[in-house]
Amino acid sequence: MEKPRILAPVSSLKMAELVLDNGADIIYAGIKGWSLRPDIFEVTREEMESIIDLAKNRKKQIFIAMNCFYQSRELPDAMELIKKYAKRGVSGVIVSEIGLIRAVRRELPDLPVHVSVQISASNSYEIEYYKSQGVKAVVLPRDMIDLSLENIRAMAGKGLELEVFAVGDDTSNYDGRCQLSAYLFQQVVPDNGTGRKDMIIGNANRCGYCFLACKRKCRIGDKTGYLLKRGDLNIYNMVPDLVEAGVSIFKIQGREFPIKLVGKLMRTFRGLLDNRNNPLKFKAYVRTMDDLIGLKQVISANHLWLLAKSNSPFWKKIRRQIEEPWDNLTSFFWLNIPGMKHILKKIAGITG
Amino acid sequence: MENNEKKQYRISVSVAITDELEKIDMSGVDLLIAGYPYCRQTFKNPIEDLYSVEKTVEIMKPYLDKVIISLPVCPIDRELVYVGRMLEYLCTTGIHGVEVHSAGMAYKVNAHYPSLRTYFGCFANVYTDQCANVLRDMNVVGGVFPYELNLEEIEFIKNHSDIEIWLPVFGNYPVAFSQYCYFHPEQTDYPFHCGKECSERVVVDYGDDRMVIHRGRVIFSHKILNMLTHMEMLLKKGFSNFRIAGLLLQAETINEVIKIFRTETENILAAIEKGQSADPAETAKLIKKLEIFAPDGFSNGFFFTKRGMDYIENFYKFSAV
Repeated sequence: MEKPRILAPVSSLKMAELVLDNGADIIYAGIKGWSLRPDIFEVTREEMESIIDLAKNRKKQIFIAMNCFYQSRELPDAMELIKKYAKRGVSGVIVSEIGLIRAVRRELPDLPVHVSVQISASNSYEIEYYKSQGVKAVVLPRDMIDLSLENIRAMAGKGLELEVFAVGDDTSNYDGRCQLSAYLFQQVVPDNGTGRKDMIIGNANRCGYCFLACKRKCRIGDKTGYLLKRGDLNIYNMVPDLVEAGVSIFKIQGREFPIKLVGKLMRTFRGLLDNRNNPLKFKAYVRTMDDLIGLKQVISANHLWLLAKSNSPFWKKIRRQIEEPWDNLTSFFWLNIPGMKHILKKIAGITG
Repeated sequence: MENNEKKQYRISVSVAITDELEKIDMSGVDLLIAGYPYCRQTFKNPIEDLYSVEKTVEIMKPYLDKVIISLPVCPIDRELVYVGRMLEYLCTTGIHGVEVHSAGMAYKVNAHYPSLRTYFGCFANVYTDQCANVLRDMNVVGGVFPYELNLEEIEFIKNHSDIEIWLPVFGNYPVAFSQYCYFHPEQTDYPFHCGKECSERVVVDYGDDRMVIHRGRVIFSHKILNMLTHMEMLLKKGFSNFRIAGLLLQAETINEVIKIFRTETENILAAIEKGQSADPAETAKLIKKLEIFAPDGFSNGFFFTKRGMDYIENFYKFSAV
């Protein structure tokens, strides 16, 4: 069995250096306007070139995230971008759009394609299909992981690499099959310098911003609270089982999180994965992950208010102002104060 | 109306409850999509198990050439045995086809059950002409595009692919799908025992007049999509296949809605033939009739959203709700 690898997020050259220093095997980044993150968490085209060079120098892989459901008219531009970075030496591309997958396979047959979580490939039929398309790996839906190792085993038997989210937001609905944010909060804003014509706020599947409607306060009958919010995504304590079931890539989500936190998540998960057969050490790493994830959830809710006009100098300034305090809060001193995690969550408005 | 050959347009409808199938007036229906694909365990679901599928086929026997069976959305591996048996059985029935909700399922049906025509549902993630063409190459006939596409995009696809476009024109439409049931968040196995709580209508209110309906594993739009006033524009643009999203509607409502849409479409086509526009007073009368089915009001869905619109100054303005 091939050694499992860790895929780490990158939203700047500095973050790329940090995650590589902390043991990432593969890194991924999105170009401004073209991936499933607000543009402040994507990289410029120049930065992308530097990140590719960095990964190549370190002999690590770099994947480019082209994982939105684009408009038909945008597909030629998306393909041009992929060609440009393939030429520059990118190791592969993460794609959701089925038409784009076929185009990449036809025009760049040597470029590995990973199918994004947006596809929600939940069974062997899907794996068989993507194998027939020449895809190298498929990211499994975040929802299904904790209930069906049996399912993962069956899918792994089909001969494609399987990737799961080791750390990620706890969404309530299937990625790529949720338009709740678009339905409730859709706005369209003109081009804000990303190179795209404009950004769609609320259309999370389509390069817009997700308002995490499933985590917001709502009312059902006479009950009010976070009623559609599901439990937390917590699969890192299942890592030994997942490796045994056939998962070969573990993804850390977090392009939107402070650099230091991503670095700590990366380092801790590296330790956890490498020590998966040492129960004592493994448990210690799981405990550390628990703390980091507690903090991550706080920030996850907070990044929402950074979204509007995210590229404007005003929001950039605000972001800088809060980023440093958040980094300081990753200190275990803060997290170990009784009730602190709850207070932070309360401040962030993600708990009742 | 009775002669299919002469029709310049077609209407399809989805039906979620086996007992309702018998009450549908099939003279107004060109294609009927049977089954609630989001959760097999819903009340009297025509696709709950093989027995239910057989019963559906029995009920719809005189109209099998107009009936499509919807397959489950995102089944997990242990459900595939059931899906396989269902497909094998359907191949022997002379049914019109099946509705799939992913490329993998379309691939499977095309490879192993080629006698079944394949259509795709709104959660199949068919967002572009190129994606439509990939499915077309797997002999997929047509289907419903994701609801978040606007008309401009759908028109582009229409002009760049020969896939059949079934444009939704009425009904509550799904906006999110989960593997978990909101009524049973503690359940981590599927299928599980449930009390069919989703038979009750549950409204989720986010404030500011933002609401959705949740039915266990799926969230639907609160307001009803209604494109009746835009039928003339749609016909003139060349759209000719229309879908009534009937999963949350009763048979009586479906029959009435189909009649109203047919009347309006016939009026428009007659007016177009004379080089005129349809009488707006007649349309207004028909809208009035539809209002009783939509206590929470109508919406245009995402059809008229377009890129470049500046909503940001009106932060709480939105069009889909």
